[in-house]
Amino acid sequence: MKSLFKIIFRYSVTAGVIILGILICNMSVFLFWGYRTLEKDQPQKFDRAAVDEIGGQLYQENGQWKITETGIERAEDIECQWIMALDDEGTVVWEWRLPDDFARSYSLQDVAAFSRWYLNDYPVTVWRSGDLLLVVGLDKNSVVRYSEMFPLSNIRSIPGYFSMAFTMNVILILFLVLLLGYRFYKALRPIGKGIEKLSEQEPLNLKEKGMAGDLAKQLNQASAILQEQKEKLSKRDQARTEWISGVSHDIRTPLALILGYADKLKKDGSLDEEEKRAADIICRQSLIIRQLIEDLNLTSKLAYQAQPLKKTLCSPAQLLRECAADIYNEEITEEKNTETEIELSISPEMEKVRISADPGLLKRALRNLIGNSVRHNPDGCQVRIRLRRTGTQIIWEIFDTGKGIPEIVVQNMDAQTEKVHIMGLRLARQIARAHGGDLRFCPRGTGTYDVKMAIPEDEY
Amino acid sequence: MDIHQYKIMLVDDNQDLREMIAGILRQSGFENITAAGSVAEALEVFHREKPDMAVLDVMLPDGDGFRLFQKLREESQIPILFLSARDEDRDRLFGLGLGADDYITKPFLPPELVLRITAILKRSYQFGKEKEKQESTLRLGDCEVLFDYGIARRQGKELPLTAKELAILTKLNENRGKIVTFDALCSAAWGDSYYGYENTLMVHIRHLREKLEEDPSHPRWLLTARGLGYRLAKENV
Repeated sequence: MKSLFKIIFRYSVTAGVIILGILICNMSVFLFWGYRTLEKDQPQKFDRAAVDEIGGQLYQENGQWKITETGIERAEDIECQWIMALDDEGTVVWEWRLPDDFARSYSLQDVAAFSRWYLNDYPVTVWRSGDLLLVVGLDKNSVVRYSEMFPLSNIRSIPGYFSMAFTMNVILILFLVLLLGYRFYKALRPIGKGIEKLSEQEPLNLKEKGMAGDLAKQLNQASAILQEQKEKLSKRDQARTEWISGVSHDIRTPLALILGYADKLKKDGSLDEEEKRAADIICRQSLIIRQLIEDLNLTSKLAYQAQPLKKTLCSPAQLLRECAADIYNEEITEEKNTETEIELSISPEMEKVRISADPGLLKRALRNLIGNSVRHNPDGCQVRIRLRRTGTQIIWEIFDTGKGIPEIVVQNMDAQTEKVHIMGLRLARQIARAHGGDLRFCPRGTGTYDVKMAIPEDEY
Repeated sequence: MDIHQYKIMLVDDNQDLREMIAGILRQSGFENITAAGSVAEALEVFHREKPDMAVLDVMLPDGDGFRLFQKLREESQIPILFLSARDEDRDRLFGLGLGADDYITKPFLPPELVLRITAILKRSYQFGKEKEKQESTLRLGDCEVLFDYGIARRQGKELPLTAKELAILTKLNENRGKIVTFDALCSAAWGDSYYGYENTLMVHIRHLREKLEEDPSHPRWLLTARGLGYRLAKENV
């Protein structure tokens, strides 16, 4: 959910920045454009300077007001309709293109009226030039005359209004962005939770409504497909485990017959030594098959988590001693492996260590590992097992003076090709891994390996 | 009554296996053996023959051995041993939990089956008779240990054994010929919280050797398994 929040947060910030950017951009374009049009759409060349200039070109000759050629050109330039100049009495003392129906004398009231509005429908602008009052008539169809009065306080507060409006806008934008962001977050939250659940392989049932309804629908579908597949897989795993369990069960009765009769033959007095030896081999091999089917069954159960660990508090040192004693009692007899010796090296400190583990399974793993050393060296060897602790790991190190584990076995630990004779080793590794540990192979320098089993120590 | 005269009923759907087990038992001296291949047949044989012990398979064509066990138990308290191809711990525990006397998984070594059947019969019918006499006395060469009296008798002298020495010796005797770990011996003498008693155990073993062995510094019976524990040697070694 954190990731979703981050997405929404970034989205909000980006949206805010974009809106602000557009606003600023708009304002500057508006100002620029406004300035440009203001400049362009003013009556051409009609400005204070032009009127001033025309005023300056007027001169008095023999009591008559006249204008220079330059003044005429200028007047034509500014595209006005007509110009007149009044003296202090209100009499027109000079005129240019003044329509005939216009009065030639104006009272103070007239001047006051047209200076702010229109004169005979002509928008008018008034300028004082020396003793004269210059009145310029502009085009009726292109200019609107508008005169308004504003209280000074209003004009003064314009910047304030502007900044207030700006602030309000920014606040509004922020509010909208946050609101939309929150709505977006709210709409997407179930989707985010759904994806999270999906990754944990939990079944989904999202509401298929609102902004993200379609997404929710698709997620629900994906979840249904996943659940179905998961179910199929687990059914297949279960079927496989049951199949192996069934086969191993079915093998047991025939094997019991083989073992029983071989044992009987072994003791049969009428058979010669050769035949007895053959019966003994059948017996021993039957026992190996028994071990193999037990291993196979356990390995398939461990692989598909059909065998829960029965963890109890146990002593690694005691487990090791029990294993060694079992091997002495069962595998090192007067008839076989007589030369084999097992030596344990357990420090007093290790005697105190207790771990939480499945003692049955751990003993099985140790039996397999130590048993390999014994079985693969029928001429006898010294097996030395050291129990030690590094960090939080309990390690059983198994060394022997025999052949060691061949390279090919170590290489095939992960290979798909089933080599049945390393099943014991694989089972030991599976047990170690089920406890959160692993097997480690240490090269001897002669091309073969020793093995160590490491199990994490629990916090007790 | 001789242990071999008890009547044993075998119930297994596999006729070959029934015959083989019957053969093994006969060879070991058991004379009265009856067999059945299904629950129905087993009940019939049970009512007709009144066996002293039953060996049941768990998977039978018309039901399972656990149900058959319960039916037999309703009428009789004869010892029952399960002989099953199901090696799951839960099956084993279920069978033993019902009150079965033992649970053996197939395939089994014939001598093991015979030993277990014999042990069950002894435990069930001869407790307090022959068995006690046999097991309460241990012969170690010219030394005799009388567990009931807690004494060792050698060359006419009687040496008392302490409670701990008796507990240790009993444990070793139960597993005679096999290595018994320090842990198992300490646990037998001091219970489960035995940590730190290893040295004390050594002292007790030394005292035991002084009482039992002819030459305590070169023991013939009470042998050390270095780093593991001790072993009580068998007679013929």
